[in-house]
Amino acid sequence: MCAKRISLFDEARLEQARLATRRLFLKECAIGLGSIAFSPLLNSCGQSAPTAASLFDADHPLRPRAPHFPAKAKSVIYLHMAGAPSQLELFDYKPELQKLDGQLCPESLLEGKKFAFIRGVPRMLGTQGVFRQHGQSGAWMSNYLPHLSEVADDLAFLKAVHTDQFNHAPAQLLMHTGTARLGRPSLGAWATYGLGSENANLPGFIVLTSGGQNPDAGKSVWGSGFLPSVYQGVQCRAHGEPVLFLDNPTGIDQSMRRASLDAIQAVNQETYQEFQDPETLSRISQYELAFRMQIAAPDVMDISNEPAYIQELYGATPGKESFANNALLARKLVEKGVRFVQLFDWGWDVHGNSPDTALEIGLHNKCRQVDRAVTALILDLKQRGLLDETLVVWGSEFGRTPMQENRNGIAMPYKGRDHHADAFTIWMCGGGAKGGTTYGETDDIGFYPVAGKTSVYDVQATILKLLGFDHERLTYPFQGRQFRLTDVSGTPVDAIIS
Amino acid sequence: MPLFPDLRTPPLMGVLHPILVHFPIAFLLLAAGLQLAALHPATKKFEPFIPMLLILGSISSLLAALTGLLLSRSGDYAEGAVRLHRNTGLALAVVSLALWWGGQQLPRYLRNIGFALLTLLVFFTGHQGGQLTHGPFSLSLPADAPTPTSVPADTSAYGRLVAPVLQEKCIACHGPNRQKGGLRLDSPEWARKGGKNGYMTAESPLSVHRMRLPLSDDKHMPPRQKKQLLPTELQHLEAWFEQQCPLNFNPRNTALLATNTTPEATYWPSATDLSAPPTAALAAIEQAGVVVLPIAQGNPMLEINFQHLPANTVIPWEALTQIRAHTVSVRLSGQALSAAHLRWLSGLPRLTRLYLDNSTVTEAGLSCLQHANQLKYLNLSGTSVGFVALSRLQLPQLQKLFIFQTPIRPDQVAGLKKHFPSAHLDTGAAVLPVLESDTVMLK
Repeated sequence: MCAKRISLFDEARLEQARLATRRLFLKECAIGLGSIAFSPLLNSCGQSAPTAASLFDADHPLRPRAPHFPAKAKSVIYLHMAGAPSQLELFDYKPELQKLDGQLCPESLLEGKKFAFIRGVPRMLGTQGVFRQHGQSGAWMSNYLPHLSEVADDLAFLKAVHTDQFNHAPAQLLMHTGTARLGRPSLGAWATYGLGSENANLPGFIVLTSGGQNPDAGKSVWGSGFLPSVYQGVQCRAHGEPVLFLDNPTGIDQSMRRASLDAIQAVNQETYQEFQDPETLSRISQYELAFRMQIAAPDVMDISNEPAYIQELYGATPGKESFANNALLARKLVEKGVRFVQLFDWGWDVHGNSPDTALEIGLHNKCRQVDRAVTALILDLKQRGLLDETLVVWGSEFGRTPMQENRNGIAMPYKGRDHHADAFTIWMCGGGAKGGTTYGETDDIGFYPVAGKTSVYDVQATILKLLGFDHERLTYPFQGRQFRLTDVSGTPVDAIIS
Repeated sequence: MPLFPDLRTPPLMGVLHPILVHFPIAFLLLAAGLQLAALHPATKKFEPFIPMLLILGSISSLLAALTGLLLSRSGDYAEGAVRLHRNTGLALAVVSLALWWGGQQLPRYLRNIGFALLTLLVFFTGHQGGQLTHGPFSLSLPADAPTPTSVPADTSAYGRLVAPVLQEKCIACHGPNRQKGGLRLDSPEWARKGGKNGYMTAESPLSVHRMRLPLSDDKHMPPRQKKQLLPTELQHLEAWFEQQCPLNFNPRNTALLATNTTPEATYWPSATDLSAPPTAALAAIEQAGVVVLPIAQGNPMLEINFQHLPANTVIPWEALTQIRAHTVSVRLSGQALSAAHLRWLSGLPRLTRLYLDNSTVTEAGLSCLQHANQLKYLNLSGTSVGFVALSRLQLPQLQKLFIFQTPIRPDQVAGLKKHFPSAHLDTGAAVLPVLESDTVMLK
């Protein structure tokens, strides 16, 4: 007697029944009932706070949201000069240091100090810039930044920022994620998590790099950490087209593309239903975003369609990797409603061990690459009525020492300065920052803050405040507690808020 | 030292009530469970235990009822809220006693009904009691918490800063269901009455005193095992109590004042008489793809953004009309404007910021701003609006006007500046001189 053939559907049912093993049943029971029984216990330890602990909405992760109080800035353009330019050459004018130029550093300054490269007793190094006061506010700026000094009255300086890291990668992480170690969300990710994105056709957080390298800390400085990964920064390419593969493959039209995406999304949805992994939702929404970007992005991302006089203003050359191109692109993105644009420009590590890192050569050249573009960005945002609600931040991970670097105790061929965590300068512009103000002051040689000392957390709290957030209330539940960008520190610097 | 140093402490026996109630729950539910189990031959052998459980259950429920009566006399609880709990509790004692008394003489079906009733009473009474002790709660999961987008109606300082804190951390014990120490805080009027120990004087309200006590003090409020007040919350409550619980009070928290009230109070129009925008209208607008957001959480004033609408979107004008009074900022950058747009724009009493840059607004269309008395920011860059149309507008509050890439000629700018004396005009066309440093790199 031959075995009875079963239908395809019966076979499928049989397979499904085989999958539902006793072990699976028991496992599900244990987890299901266990978690029900356990949840009140967790509740009583304050583990789960039901009051809007997380803003994350799995179905609409980037849905626009109102901040805690009326915002002064809708968007942020954060310009990070990776490597740390010398504040003593650009903004922090120290005539006393000039007088001490070439003298041996007093031992008292070196006691208990640790430097990245300076060994033994270094010599003091006077500024290489020619300083002059600019604008009505009388801000001191040097001839390294001839264009930027023309808009001095729009800038709000923090001159006594300090950090506690003197190596690039941890200091960059601290600056952007609030900790020197890996794993926390970046400022842009927090902003996007808190505010969502008003333009559904573009990412809410875009990263542009120039200078030939990514920052030392790598992509973690724009990562989403423990936040759902839809909030991480989307890095655009530095050369050629900023985003690749926006065109459909040959022979595929938009509706076919849609159909194939629908099929993929259905499978992803099923996977999500089965495993409940929020990263599956991120994947789904990224596919959808990419599809919408096919229409919106080619136009926004292409700076060559800007009129020639605008390209000239920035000094942009489409197709080439440059900070100027990125600055122009940043304006276009903000104009289209992108929440957070982060520019990293590499090559500011002015140790003085080669011409490229010499204060008298390399730093000049780096300044020439950004001076015109940053100024153009400010002017262009202003004339379009965008600077009003766009916060431009210019800064780095730390500053430079008032002493000349003597790597391994040997005099160096060029003038350079070592990493300095205790005092450096950051400026902000537009978006509620009070132009023409200076907050914070360093001692006569620019070594330590003497007034208005500002921590990295204070800078972060200030940026969040301008975006409308109480930095203590923008939190995300993770590992049993509420995390925030500034963790347990930070006070907004109200002195530079208009 | 007296046995009861504070009258507000319930008698010792009363304190035992929340502990004792768990005995009848356990005994009686077990008895009902065994009764159910007796239906099956394999577990019928447990039946003899039922009478013992019943008598234990009824004795303990009588004890619980007795202590409960003492507790309710302490005056911490609203009479109405307690009555139902007391009655069902007594009924529970009676039913369990009857089932024990009647025992095997009763017909089986009657006994089953009795046990079903018993079970129901246990759950019902327990739930009631739980609500009295822990405050009202629902049996649904926390995921159903109200959506964060909802806009609370009360925008007074009390509604924003005090009521949510009281609701979260005080009302469970000092609210409609329970008034420990005779204190009720669910409305400013009740709060002003104070608790049993007389009213707090304006100089040092008792409530403030209790909140300021160190956490180790037994009188510290909220009790140390409960969720504590955050520093800013404490500051707000102190200020509110000391100013005798008004609707609008001075929070005296300078940091918060600076961020939460002062700048907006000067920049945004007054919204004190504005109620929350209708949620149905907001949903309809959002549904259509128009971004509509309060300028801040809990603020009734709205920002509307049309900028990212795809072409051919059907705009929900009816819903938009319902929130005219709430609209303070409208972004129409790059949009093709219709007569409907202009009609709607012309009726926005609080319009403060308007972005028309690169839109198709015409000379004639600009007349929709005839009555825009609150307008402070107007962006017309990239439009075909000229001098004549602009000079017809009054715009008494205008602070910033952007006219980059418009037909307005440089020689007309002085006239415009005269027409809008308080406004900063930006004609754009920024240029930077070409410096040697722009092109020459050092070697």
